[in-house]
Amino acid sequence: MKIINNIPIKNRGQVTSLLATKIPIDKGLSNTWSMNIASNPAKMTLANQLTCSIDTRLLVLLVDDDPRYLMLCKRYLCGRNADKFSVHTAGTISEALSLCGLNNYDCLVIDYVLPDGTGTDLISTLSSGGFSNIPPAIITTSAGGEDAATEAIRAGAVDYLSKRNANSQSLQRTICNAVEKFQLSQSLAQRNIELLDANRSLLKNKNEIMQFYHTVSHEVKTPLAAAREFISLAQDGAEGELNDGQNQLMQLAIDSCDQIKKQFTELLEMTRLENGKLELERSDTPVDNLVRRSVTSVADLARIRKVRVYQVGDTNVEVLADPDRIVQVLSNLLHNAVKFSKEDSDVVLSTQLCDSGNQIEFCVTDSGCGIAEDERSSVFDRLFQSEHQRSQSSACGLGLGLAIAKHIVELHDSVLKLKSELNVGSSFYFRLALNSRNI
Amino acid sequence: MKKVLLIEDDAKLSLALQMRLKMMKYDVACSVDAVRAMDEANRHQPELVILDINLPGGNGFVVAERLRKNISTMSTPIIFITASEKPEYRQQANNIPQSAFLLKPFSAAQLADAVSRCLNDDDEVYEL
Repeated sequence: MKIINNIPIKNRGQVTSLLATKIPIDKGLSNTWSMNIASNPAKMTLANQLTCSIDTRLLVLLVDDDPRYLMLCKRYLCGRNADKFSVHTAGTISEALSLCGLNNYDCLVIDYVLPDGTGTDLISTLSSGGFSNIPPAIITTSAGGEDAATEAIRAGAVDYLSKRNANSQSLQRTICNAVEKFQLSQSLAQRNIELLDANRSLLKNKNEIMQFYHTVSHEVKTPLAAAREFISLAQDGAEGELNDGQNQLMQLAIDSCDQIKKQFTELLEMTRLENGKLELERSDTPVDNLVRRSVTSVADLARIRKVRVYQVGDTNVEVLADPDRIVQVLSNLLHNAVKFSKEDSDVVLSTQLCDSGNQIEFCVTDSGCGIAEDERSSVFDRLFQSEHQRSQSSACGLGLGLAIAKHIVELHDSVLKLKSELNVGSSFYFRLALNSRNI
Repeated sequence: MKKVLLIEDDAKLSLALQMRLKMMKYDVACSVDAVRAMDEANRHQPELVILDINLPGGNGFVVAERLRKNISTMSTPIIFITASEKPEYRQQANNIPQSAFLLKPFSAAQLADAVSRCLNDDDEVYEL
């Protein structure tokens, strides 16, 4: 819709002064009203002066070689609803194309049969002719019925109207519906473009973030390697023997270096998981092997914290899984369980056949502090640290372990779940399908 | 004493590793970049090369390729060391025969294990 400047005209004098400025004029408004303001303001008609306003009417082009039908349609559209439609007319395809080149129509109503072609020819020419913003087209016909309608829709028309059924109401409704449908599809197309751009931008950001993590990790871990090695050299007597106290301090320093390394590794792993860059290496894996390795991994921590860790249930089966990754999950769950358990309590890793023997459920249960109900839905989020857990233990880490465990379990087509009660304990559990040999 | 060529551009880590290797009773030569690495290899004829992957003047894999093309070092075991966890680095190292891979920071025990295995078993690829 061309916009014409809104000029609130009160008197001729004001018009004269406003006319001194440049105002864009729609050259194609020959069939409606126009302001011939470029030539002689004094000769401007009263009607023109008083009707300068922003034109919100739908601009419609009627294309038909029957002048009586054109007049009838103009009356249908502009009779009682002069404020709704503004109408141009054309009798041939070539005339219609000229007008389309000069105006931005909101809708075209085109007779199926024209002197220089068909209505569908006009639509095809507009589509392939380099016109921008091709408006929605409605084909009208006095004969042809469904075949004509089908051909019209296939050619790109949005609707079809039989001349026999045309009246003021049907014509207006068909035009309004066509325009609304067209605007919706334009809006959808625009949204799709914006989404595509947003996706491209996100992908670029993801790659940049990955690169950033790699760079940061690399730049930190090399000096960390040097620091760790110097401490280790001192421990090993490179500059003389250390006493017990000095040795202990050196060991604490080395433990801190290892903790930093672990957290950087977790950070990178999380990034890789989120970017879909972590690949599993699945193989037939004995469950007892998974269980043994996992329990061994927390043996030292359990001894220090005086927590008993033991395993119960079925282990004499195999699963198709990435063994290192499942051990990583189980070790993480056991590590958390031990960390947040009271002294002289039990942590249990249970394995139980389920789903009629087609699956095995791994479950790590502790009798620790538990997780509050309002935190349970967030417990697998990155960087989540339970407030209750923070108050119980100072060694919280980056908070990525459970998020990583969840991702790894999902990569194995399963779900990591939680049952918990405050001050009673928690159970984290997931299922894996048994190797087909065991079913 | 067996000779080890250490190619590492970080001065402090290079010093720490030199001290460690000397404690392990190896004769250590050093280079700080890919360009001078080949000169040092030709001069010292090492029995083992410990090679950082991210080097000034070209990465460690380029150096490894040159070492393998050089008659005097074509069978010399290489231990690749890196702080980067890019999976493609590990894969590329796996493709080079008689090589091992260590991720920084590594312990003295891990380094000793890698060195000992590289110098004792020439035909295997060791991945750590």
